[in-house]
Amino acid sequence: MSVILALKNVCKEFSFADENLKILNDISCELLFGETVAITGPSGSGKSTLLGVMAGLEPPTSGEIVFGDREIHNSSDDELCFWRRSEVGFIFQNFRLVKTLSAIENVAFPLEIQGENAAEAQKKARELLAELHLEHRLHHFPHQLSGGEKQRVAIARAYVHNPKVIFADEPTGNLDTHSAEKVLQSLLSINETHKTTLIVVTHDIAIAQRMSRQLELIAGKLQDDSES
Amino acid sequence: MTPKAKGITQLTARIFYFYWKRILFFALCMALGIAFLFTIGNLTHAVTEQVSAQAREILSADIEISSYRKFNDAHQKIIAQMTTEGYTTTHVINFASMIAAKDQSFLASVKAIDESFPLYGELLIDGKKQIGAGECWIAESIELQFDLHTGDTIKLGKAQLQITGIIKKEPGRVFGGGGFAPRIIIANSTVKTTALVEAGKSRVRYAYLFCRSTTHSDSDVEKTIDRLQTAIKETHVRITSYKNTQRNVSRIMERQSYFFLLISIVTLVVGSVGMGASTYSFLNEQLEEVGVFRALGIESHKIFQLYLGLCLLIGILAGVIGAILGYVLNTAGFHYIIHLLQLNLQIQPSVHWWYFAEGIVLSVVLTLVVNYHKIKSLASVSPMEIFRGEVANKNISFLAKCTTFVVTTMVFFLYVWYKSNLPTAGYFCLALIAVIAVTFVMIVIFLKLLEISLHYLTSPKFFVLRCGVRQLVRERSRTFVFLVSLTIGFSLINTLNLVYTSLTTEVFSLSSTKVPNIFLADVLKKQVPAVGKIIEDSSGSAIEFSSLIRARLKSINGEEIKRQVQVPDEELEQYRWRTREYNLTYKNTLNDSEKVIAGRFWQPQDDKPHISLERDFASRANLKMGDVLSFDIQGVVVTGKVTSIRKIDWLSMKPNFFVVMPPKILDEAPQTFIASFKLDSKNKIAQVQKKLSQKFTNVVVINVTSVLETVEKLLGYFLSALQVVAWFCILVGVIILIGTLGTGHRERFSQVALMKTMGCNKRQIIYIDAIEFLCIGFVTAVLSFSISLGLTALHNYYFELSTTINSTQYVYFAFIVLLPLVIGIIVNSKIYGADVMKNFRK
Repeated sequence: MSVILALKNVCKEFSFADENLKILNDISCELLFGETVAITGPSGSGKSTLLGVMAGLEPPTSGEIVFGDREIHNSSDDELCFWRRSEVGFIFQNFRLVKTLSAIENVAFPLEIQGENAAEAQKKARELLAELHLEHRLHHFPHQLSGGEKQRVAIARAYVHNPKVIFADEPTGNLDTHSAEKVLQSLLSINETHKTTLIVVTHDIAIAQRMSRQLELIAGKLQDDSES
Repeated sequence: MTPKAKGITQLTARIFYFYWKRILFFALCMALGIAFLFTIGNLTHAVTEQVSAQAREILSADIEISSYRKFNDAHQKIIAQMTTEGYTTTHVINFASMIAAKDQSFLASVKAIDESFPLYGELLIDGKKQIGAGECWIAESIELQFDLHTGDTIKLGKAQLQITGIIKKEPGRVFGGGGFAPRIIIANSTVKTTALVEAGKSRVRYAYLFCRSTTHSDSDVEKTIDRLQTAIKETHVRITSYKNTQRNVSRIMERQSYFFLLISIVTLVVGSVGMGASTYSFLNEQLEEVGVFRALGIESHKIFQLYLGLCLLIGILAGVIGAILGYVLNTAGFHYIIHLLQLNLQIQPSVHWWYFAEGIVLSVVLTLVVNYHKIKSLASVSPMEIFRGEVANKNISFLAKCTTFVVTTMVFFLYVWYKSNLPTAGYFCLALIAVIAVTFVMIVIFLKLLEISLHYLTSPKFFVLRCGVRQLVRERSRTFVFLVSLTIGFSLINTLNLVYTSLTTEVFSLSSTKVPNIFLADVLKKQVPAVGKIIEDSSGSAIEFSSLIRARLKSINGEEIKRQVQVPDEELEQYRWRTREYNLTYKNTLNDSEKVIAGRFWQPQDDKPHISLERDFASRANLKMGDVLSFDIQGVVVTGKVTSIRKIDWLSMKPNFFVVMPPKILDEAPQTFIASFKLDSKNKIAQVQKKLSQKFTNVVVINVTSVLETVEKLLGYFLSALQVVAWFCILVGVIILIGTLGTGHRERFSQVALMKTMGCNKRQIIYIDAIEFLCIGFVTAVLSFSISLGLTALHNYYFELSTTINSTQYVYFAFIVLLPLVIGIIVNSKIYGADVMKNFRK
């Protein structure tokens, strides 16, 4: 399998009250096309920061991030936006649906950003939501959906434009066991069917074990548990 | 205070302290309206107090006996008796006349005095302090406008007068603005030599002013007035006390202050809308806290008390800030407002704590009334409903919303009633409800249209437009607040502008072909042919003269009009209209500016004593068809029956009259003639004025253009003052816009971060916001123009004007469209460049 995302000596520092905190410390790793990766670690270990840096949401303090043949660390804001809209999907712990958009509009939104016709985008969104058993919730707004439903809408939104990689930050963190299982199955099924690379940040060992590879972040250092 | 109550009070104080920035914004929304009410209250109070203190100076006397006819022997006897009772007296004669000087001629208001004038107040002259025969003092405006100075001579009637002083200050002039007939003061002994004050020539007002002696008390003066009212039966003799003057000036001030009061109330309405909407979403955000409080065992009614207390604090804060702003406005802007109102009084700003208390009570009542139902619903939610996330927004019922609207309107109604009168309060609230209802319906229609448009904006090229419109439509309540708060202010200022434009264009425009620009008065019957010839030579066409007969109403249906010692306020207008002097005319045909709207106008051969009345005059004097009226024309009584009512287009500037009778009835009455006509150029106007003043010294030539310019100037001052207040109404709308965007920043930050995560770039996000704000601006502009055009059309329909839109209106339109865009983008500017992960971490 080819490498889809490579991190070379990535560091990330934050300044807090005249003190520099090193959150990511010289991280290097390669993620392969189609694999499912879990990034685990204790609270405050920098998991979400690592995900944000990988997705180009914030620049690393030093180091290189390469996606395919694209140098993420050297890309402009517009280039990163273009890359994210075409090749990346996102899922958040607290769903982050646009509250003024209905379920179908939320899902169609990434396609609209890509420049697809709105009617066509909604057609695709409808099909995808039906696959996730949300056909009865198409025109409901986020505040009218349950937590599990919101997260499935978020999954549909992350996947609707067939991204090469999906970044999921604690996707089941806010859900009960039953809903969490449904969400996880949906994610794994997408990975299996479309070979989309799935990078999941989680502190739940059970979820991490269902991924093909586990990376543990301890004190800013990444440890590949699969190798050990 | 019980420990529990103390606990709730402390909790209220903590919430207040924690959210002080937002609470300050809620209070600020209402504070400007309160500030204006505070200022208007104090200003009116200061003026009324000053008028009361200077009432004698304004009249220049304690008592004035005046008439447009010469006093008869009986009157002279009464006047003489006053002197024996210890009153000091002075005789004053007033009339208008043309003045010729340095190849110029102009209309002046002449006052003839003796050396004891003024009895009160100050007559400040720059020059010789005593006036003698053959001398005159001129107003400063004459010196400036006609380049006349001390030592020059002017011609008044047949008299050559030397200017010996410039009038710097004259008692009795409360309202300034110059006037179109500036003052000239002469000595009483000069009057005869002018030959203007002869029966049937100029309209002359004779007056005797009286000043009490040191032994007279206020009640003595009152008694003297009562005695004079009984002793002098004739209604053409007016007996005025300084208290009447005070009442009249106060009434004018009161009427002017109503306009400011109503605009301030509109500002407060806008502020209340903004405050209500902001506190509504703030209280929704409090649901989590309410859930926690309830779970911790705080009862529902305590939650109610907690947030009611918070609203009480918001109200008090609004009142206090309003009073502080009002104090600053009252102190810093006082003299500017006095200038705009053209008041000639020596007034100093003053602050009365009553208005401070009034402002606080009003803001507290409004805050509580507007938020009552929301607080009630907040207190009634069960904690589990909140924790299960079943109530993200606790909306109040439609009935509760309607009740809030009705009660709030009632508060405004009662306040306006208390500050003015019942009809003003009623009409104002009806207009307000109508404007809000129209605004509401139009916003609903606009939003529906925009929502429908989304179905057609599916092409990728409309992505940004689609997102902007969707944002606007889906954030419905926020959009409503923006649109209502901005629309009301802009409608107000647009209406003022449109009314002013319509008035100035229709009435004052020199280019208007239908409006005569010269008015002739006091032309004697024997002078008519010669005067007509001069005019015809200049204008190229013959002009028509109308007779003018001065008369008073003597009886209605046989019931004599009697002098009333005490007139109730509600009957005062009718009494004044019935006892004043009118200008009558006789004719057999109507001119093209008048139309019979009831009854029939008589035929030329008809010799019955018909009377035709002007519509508004008939209504004010409470006269109707079929009434038998007797007029006293210089002592001769003429009786007739009202057989027609006419509607007159006064703006035609043609000679028109309240009362018209057939020629046969009035032909022999003492009369002068008037006429109006149009001259093309200023040169011709000057030539005609010069010729007429040289040949016919008694003929008054009024340059309508300069009169209208003066009226335009005064109207402009008044409208400017109103506009200043109206702009603050827009400022409140802008504060609401900024505040609402500011309080929604956190959510917008998160939304923008999400959009960036999904691949939207900064430019697209700015464009999406720009579309939303442009839509708000455009809809506000369309709504405010529609409403103001509607209101102007109503005004113009009533005053028979046509509505005119000038290029300034287009600039205003563009300004309204762009204002929310500029403010919105500036307020949100930090959001666009914000770091995505930083926002997610927040």
